[in-house]
Amino acid sequence: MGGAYRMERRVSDQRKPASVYGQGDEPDPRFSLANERTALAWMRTALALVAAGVAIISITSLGTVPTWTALIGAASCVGGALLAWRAVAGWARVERALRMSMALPSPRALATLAGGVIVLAALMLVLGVVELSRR
Amino acid sequence: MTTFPGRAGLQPERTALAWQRTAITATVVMVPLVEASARLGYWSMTVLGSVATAAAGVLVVGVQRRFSQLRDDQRPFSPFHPMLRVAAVTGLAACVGVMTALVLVCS
Repeated sequence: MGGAYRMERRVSDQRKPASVYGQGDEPDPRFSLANERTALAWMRTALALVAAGVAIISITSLGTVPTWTALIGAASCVGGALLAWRAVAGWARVERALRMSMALPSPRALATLAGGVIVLAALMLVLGVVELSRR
Repeated sequence: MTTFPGRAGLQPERTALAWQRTAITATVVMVPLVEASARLGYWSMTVLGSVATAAAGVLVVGVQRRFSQLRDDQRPFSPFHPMLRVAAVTGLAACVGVMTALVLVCS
């Protein structure tokens, strides 16, 4: 059993995706693990966006808030799905940079995420004002 | 190369716990929607939401594999496919959410 994994170099070359593992050298495993954790943190952020959207949609379905609120939830869901994809793509980009000993790519998605959260907060504020003025 | 430098910094443990947190988060995402749609009688949404939750449950089981890999394995490992699975579960949950929103707005 163990003998099959002795030739680590050859086995490591078969890892997927080849676009990442096909180039450069094996980095310090701690860096790879840190990259993996960073990608998972992005993934949890994406899940939080989807969870927020689902919660908003569920509240809308109870009929106590205007129906267009569901669209805010839908936008949050779409944002979460896009961010989940970016988490995987970002992991691959950073891992490739680590293997090539290149400078790490900048976390541009952070600014996009901040913008999205601000827009979401503004929309929820509008909803709050509309709801209060109806009382 | 792929051997962990001792257990310095508890890096493998931290990574395994990050996987677990992610999997647990994935399982609770659809709970409000399943509850609300079941109450309102949107049975298709209840079923789809349950399917997404079940997929997340499968994810939790898969994460246990990563746990043992990180604990005592010297094998080269790529987190790409497990990560794609998490992204797929997130996308599925988002799709069910958007569909429910469209049903609400159009009805």
